[in-house]
Amino acid sequence: MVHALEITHGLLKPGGLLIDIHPSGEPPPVEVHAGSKVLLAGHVQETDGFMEYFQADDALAEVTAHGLFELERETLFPFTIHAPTIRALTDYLENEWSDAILSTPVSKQLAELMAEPGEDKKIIIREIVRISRYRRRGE
Amino acid sequence: MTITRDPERNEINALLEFTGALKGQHVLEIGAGNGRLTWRYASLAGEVVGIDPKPERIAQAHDDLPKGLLGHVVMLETTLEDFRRDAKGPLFDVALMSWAL
Repeated sequence: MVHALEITHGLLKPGGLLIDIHPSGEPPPVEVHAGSKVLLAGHVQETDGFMEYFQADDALAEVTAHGLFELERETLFPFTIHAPTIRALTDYLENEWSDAILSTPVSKQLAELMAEPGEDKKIIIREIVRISRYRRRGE
Repeated sequence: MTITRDPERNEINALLEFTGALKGQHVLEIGAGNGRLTWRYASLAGEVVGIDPKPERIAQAHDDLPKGLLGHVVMLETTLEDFRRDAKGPLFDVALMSWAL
C-alpha cells in the first residue's frame, strides 16, 4: 500500500490532491426497513476482520510521516447498500464483497425479520466511510 | 429487483466538497472498477483516466460508459505500476482512490 502511494505521489502534479475513500472498519449494521420501522438483524463481518482498512490507515500515516503528503481534511459519512430481498443481498455480497460474512445468527434473524408481515420491506447495510484529502508535498 | 448503492449520494457529495467540484481538474481514478463512481463526477472534471487491473471490471466500464462521456473519460486495464512506467512525468491534479487502497 505504501508503494502504491509512492507511485501515486509521482503521478500527481506539485500541490495535487490525493483523495482516499475507504470504510472506517466498523462492522456495518444490517437493517430491515419496514415503513417507518428500522429493525437490526446484526452486523456484517469480514474474513480478515476489516484488517485491510486499518492497513490502509497505516500506509497513509506512513507516507504522511515521510513527507510525501499532508493531510488537509477528513470526515466520515454513511454509505448505504439497499437490497430488496435476501437473495439480492447475498448475490451482491458474493459478487461484489466476497470477504463479507453474514453469520448464521445474522442470516437467521434477517430471514425472520423479512418473513414478518408487511409491505415495502428492504434491507440496508450502512457502512461508515472515511474520506480524506491529502496535498502532495515536494516538487 | 436490484441493489442500489449510495442512493443518498453521500459519497459523491463528499468527493465534490473535498475537491472544489473537480472543475477542470485532470483526474486519475485508481481502482476505478466498473465506473460506478466515475460516471457520477466525470462530466464535472476536465479529463478523467480510470485504471483497474481486473479485465472484467474494465470491460463492464466500457459497456456502461455513458455516451456523453465518450472522449472525456478513458478506462484502462492496467496496474498502477505499469501505468506509472508508461506515464510521462506528473500528470494529474487529483488522484482518487475509492475502496482501492
